[in-house]
Amino acid sequence: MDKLDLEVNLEEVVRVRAFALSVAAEAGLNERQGHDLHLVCEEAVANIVNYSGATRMSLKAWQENNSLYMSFTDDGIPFDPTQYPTPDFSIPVKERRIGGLGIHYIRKLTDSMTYSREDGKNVLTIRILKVK
Amino acid sequence: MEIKITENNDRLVAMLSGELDNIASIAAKKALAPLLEQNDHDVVVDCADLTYISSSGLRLFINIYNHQHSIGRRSIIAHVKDNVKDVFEIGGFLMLFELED
Repeated sequence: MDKLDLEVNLEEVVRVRAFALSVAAEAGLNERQGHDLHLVCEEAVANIVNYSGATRMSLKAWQENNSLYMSFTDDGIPFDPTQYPTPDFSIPVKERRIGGLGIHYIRKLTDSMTYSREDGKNVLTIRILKVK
Repeated sequence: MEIKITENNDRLVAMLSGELDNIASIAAKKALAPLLEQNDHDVVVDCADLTYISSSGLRLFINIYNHQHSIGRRSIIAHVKDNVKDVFEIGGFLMLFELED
C-alpha cells in the first residue's frame, strides 16, 4: 500500500499529481486512466483544502480484484460527497455553482465512490477498474 | 503553464501550454485578464498544448464565456485534446463554447 501524508494547502497538488501518476503507473493503468486519476485526486484534495477545515489529510492507494483503490482521509467537518447532488447544467452559467464540479468529476471518472466517517475523520474511497 | 495572447484581426487568440491545475490557475487568471478588458474581439482559446485542466482552470473559461456573452462576441476553443475535451464535456462546457479544429 502506498501512502502520502499532506499539509492542508493547495500547494500540495504538486505532490498529489506525482503520487497519482506514480500509483497509476505501478498499477498498470493506461495513460488516459492516469490522467483521470490525477484529476480525481486534485479535485478531492482541493475540496478538502477549500471546504473541510481539516488540519491533516492523507491519501492511500492499493490494488484489489483488478481495481485500483484510493482513499482520501481528512479530519475536517463531516461531509459525505456521495450525497452531493449532480450539478444542474440546464441553469444559466452565471448562476451555476462551481463548487460541486469537483465532486461531479470524481463521480464521473471513477467506477465507484464510497464514504465513511471513521474515528472523527472523513474517508472517501474511489475505485478505478483496470482496463486490459 | 504558459499563456501567450496574440491579436489576429478581430480575434484575440490565447495559447495555453502545459497543465492548468489549482496552482497554475492563479497565474493564468492574471495572464488572461486582458481578455476581460476588451469589448470588440472574439476570443479563441487555443488548447493545442493544454494537456490537463481541473475545475479550478474551468473557472477561467467561465469568466471568458460570461464576458464574451455580455459584449455579444464569440467564445471559441480550438485544437482541444481528447482528454481535456472530455473534462469540458463532463463539466457542461461544450454547450457554451464553439469548437474549432
